[in-house]
Amino acid sequence: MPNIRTKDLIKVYRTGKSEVIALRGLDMHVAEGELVAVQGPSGCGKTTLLNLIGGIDRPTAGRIEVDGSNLVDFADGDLVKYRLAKVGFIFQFFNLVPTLTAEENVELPLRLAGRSPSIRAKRRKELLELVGMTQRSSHRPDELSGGEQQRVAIGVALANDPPLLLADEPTGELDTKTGQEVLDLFRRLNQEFKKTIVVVTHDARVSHIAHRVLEIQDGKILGETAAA
Amino acid sequence: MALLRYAAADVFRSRRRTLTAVLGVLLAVTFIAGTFIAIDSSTRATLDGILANYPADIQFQAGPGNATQIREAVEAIPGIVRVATWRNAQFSEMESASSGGRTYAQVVGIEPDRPPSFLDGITVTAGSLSLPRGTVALSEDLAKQVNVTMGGTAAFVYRSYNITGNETLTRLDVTVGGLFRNPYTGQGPFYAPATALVQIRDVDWYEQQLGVVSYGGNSIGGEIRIYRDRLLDPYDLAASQRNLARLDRQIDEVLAPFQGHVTIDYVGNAISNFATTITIQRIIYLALSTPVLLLGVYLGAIGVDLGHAERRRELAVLKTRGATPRQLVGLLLVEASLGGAIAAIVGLVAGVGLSRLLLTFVSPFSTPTAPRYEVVVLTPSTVVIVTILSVTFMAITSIRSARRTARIPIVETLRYYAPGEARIQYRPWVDILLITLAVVTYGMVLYARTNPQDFFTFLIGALFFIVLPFTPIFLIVGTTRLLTRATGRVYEWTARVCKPFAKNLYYVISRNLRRNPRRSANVAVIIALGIAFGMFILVTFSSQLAYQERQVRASVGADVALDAPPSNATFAANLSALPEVGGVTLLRTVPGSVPYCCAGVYALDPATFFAVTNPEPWYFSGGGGAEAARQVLAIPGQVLVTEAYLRNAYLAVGDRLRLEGSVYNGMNYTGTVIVNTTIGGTVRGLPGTTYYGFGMPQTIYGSLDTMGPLLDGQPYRGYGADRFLIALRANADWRAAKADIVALGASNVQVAAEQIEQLRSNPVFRAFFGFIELEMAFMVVILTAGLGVILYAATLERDVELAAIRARGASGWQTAGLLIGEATSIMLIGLIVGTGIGILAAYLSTTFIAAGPGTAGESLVPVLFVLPPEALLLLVFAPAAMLLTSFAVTIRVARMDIARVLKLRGG
Ligand SMILES: Nc1ncnc2c1ncn2[C@@H]1O[C@H](COP(=O)(O)OP(=O)(O)O)[C@@H](O)[C@H]1O
Ligand SMILES: [Mg+2]
Repeated sequence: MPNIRTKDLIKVYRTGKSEVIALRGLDMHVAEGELVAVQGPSGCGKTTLLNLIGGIDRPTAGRIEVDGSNLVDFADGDLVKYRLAKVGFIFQFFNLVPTLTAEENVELPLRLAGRSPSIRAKRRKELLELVGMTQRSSHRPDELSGGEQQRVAIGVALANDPPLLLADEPTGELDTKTGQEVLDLFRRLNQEFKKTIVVVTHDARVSHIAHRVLEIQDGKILGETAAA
Repeated sequence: MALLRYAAADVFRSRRRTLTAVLGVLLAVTFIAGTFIAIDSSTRATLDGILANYPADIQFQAGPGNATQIREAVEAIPGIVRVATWRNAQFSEMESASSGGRTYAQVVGIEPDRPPSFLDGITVTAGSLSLPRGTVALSEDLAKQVNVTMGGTAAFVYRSYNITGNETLTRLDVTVGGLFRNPYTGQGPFYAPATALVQIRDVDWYEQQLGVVSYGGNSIGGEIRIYRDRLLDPYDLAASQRNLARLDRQIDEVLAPFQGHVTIDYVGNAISNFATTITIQRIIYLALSTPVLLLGVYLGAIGVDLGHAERRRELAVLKTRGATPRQLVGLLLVEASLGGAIAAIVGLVAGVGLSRLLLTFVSPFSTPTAPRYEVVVLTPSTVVIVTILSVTFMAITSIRSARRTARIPIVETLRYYAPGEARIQYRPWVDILLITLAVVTYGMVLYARTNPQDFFTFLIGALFFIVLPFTPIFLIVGTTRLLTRATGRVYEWTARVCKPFAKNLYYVISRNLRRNPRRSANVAVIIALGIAFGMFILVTFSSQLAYQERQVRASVGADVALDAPPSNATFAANLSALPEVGGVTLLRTVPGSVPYCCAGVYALDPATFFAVTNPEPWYFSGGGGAEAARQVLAIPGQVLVTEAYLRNAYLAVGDRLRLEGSVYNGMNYTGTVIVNTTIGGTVRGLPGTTYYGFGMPQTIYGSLDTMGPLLDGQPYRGYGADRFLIALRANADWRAAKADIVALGASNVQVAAEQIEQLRSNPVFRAFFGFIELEMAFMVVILTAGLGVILYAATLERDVELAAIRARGASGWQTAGLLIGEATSIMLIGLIVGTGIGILAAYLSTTFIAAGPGTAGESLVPVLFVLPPEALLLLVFAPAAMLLTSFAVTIRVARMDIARVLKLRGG
């Protein structure tokens, strides 16, 4: 469903006197149902791009069209709704709520969306099964390994069944094996559940699962390689 | 200390963290500094207040002689403003043609333009005091007794005895040239209401005219008023003392030729005790500030802990580079001390401002004129004490947390994926111990109170009595921590209250509180402590005040009580006719003997007594109350006795009681009369028939009819035999009523409203109450600031978590609601526990402290528990202020830049 297109996307960070231009007129397109990987050197603007697409931040200039409507025109409240319903964010450092258990973390977006208890219970179970965390559902983040935490975080991202998944270096903190598991999960989500996925990563293996790999340098798309 | 520079850099560079750590101690120290600066700045007012209690600055005495000469000689000494002299005459009786006998009169000579202090408050109602020889001024009482009016003639009478004991009377006619009303100060020569004033220079002449056999006459008393401002400097006591010593010596030299000398140097004594007075004043106010100190230190401990928690990672890095735990503790303590020094400086500056508010409350003395305050006085001792306190408090608040922080293993600290607080095992035994100690203390005090005979129990009771003041603190800390840390139930319950506005997120609130209980518990403890202290102090104060007011009412008996003038048949009717008077009842003391030792006997009119006195229910312990008592008294031959009398005389209701009295015919004893009565019931006491103090009254009450035979046969009925109790009309002015009643000739007029007013305007009471109310306001400030800072630090620490929640679709206000919800839950616990424990402790302490350690126990007037409106104000204001701050703090979260926060960790 989501069809993402950015045009002349510019993002300038102002810190005191200095300015950092993170994106310098970035144009890109992600079609519905695609799994696109984004690569580039550190500081080139990958996270910035994901944040803008995810409605977490606003660009300095340019357009972000999601299914034809421009995110830049959204009011704050619309952005909240957008994040709630359309986007699932997966972070490098998981960002789970430390006092909540795995299943409570997964349930949080459902509650934010005001789902009924029965739907929540059903969905929670499905999600934990999907990410393979049923066994450890009542553990808190600090009792889980990095890979487990990331799997829970993916469950959280999927809670409201968003069509778009944005992952920012999801395997950066994981060892090779758990990293692979996460990538496999992404592939499954893309193929089975038809999720559109944008994943920022240095992980070379991503080329095995991604349809395309975008190369960013200095805030611009440098090139694109079609993959497998 | 290689780490000193590091410490200083940290303290000054991360100002927000320093503020968090120092805030509690800073607030506490500000309060102390403010109090001390106020004490220092009001030293002059305090000295004035102390001196105001003395009749004069210096008193002297001189042999008989020319008073004017003596006065002029003393007044010539530099530094002396004014001298007043007086002299008692050696004759002391007066009469007149219509007085029908001599009456006692105290004759005093004065200089009318220099009245001595005992004349302060005198009102000259007719004529004047500056009278020629042969003309005198009489007090109204004396004029009444001698039966003369203004311009009339009376006589001084001198009575002498010769060797064989024969009495000779000499008389000298004088004209009444002035009338005055006695001030009754109880000081100087006014120990009698019947006084005559003459010029001091004429005293010798009167004595000669009366042929007084004189050995030179009475000595002359004198009072000196000095230039206080010139001679005294409360900030330089040594110089003041030197000045006064020299002055005393000069006065003695001048008086030597008149056989005179200084008798009392009031000012000198005050000055030499002044240093001690000021020190005691400081200690008392320091003690009164304990709640603020404790609260500040507790808040400080939490702030410091937060600061340390934030720095775990940084400290761990230091450790990896080779710092030992000892060094880390040292570092943290040095930082704390630096913070303490900063707090001291800021506190002293802020204290200057606060001291302006406290000025009027730090001195329990009232001055006759407007108190003189210095602009700002900062004495070295204040600076030193405040600095020491500040640094010590900071060290105390830091040590525990510093040790704990330094000991945490590095890996634990560097763990990135568990940003939650490192869980610390909660050991409930300390709290259980605290609560147990509190309960045992109350138990022991109660036990010792009910079993006062045994010396051992007295000892134990006294021991626990010392612990008593601390029990509220034990209870508050123990209960709050147990409720919040031993179980998560309470949090779950209070979080439920936030459900309406946190909606779906309320369970996040309860989980977070439940699983991160230490900080929440600490915050709840602070709030509980603050609220509980407030409630405790306010309730105790109000209860004590109400108790004392009740004492006043019990002792006066009604709105007004008075003694009828002797032999005035129309008095009762006149009294009832006064416009302010709503009801009158007669209460008479019954002379005569009681069969079983020791009881006062009163006769009263049951029909009016209860209506006029309107006794509170606690006068009656059994059922039935006032109406039952009235019915007993209405039956002729039946009496009521107090329970104390019944018990001590081993009597029972229904027993007979034989009352015996003497019968007189005029002045002559003619026999005895016996009245047989039956005990118809008991009361604990009745209004107007007891006096202040502890213990239960032993009294017998009968109706005027029943007691009639004992009353009828009485000789001349003097003052105090007939007492009237009066109920004033609903909105009658007691001042007008009192004036009218006095004008009717009544004496010993006691007005309950007046005594209560005096009680409230008592300078000690006013100072303390004012101080404590200000302290309460300050405590609300600490609570509010504390919650604000803690919440702020907590939101900083949890930024990532909150940002992540927002990234998943929560709106800014939803997230803010989460924080407010948490704050509300914590506050609710603090509020409930604080209110409950505060009131409970106040109730227990009021009841027990009123009794003292193993004292004789019960007193007639009960200490009833009063919940004052101020307490309710506290309950409204404190939460409102706290909610407002938490709201303000939370706005930051609502506005947070999610991308930026997550980037910090997002790589
Ligand atoms: N909040 C910010 N303030 C200032 N500069 C920023 C901020 N966020 C990112 N930058 C800068 O923008 C550039 C791109 O950052 P980012 O998108 O995080 O890069 P990447 O994720 O590709 O490593 C970097 O130079 C970074 O320093
Ligand atoms: Mg990045």
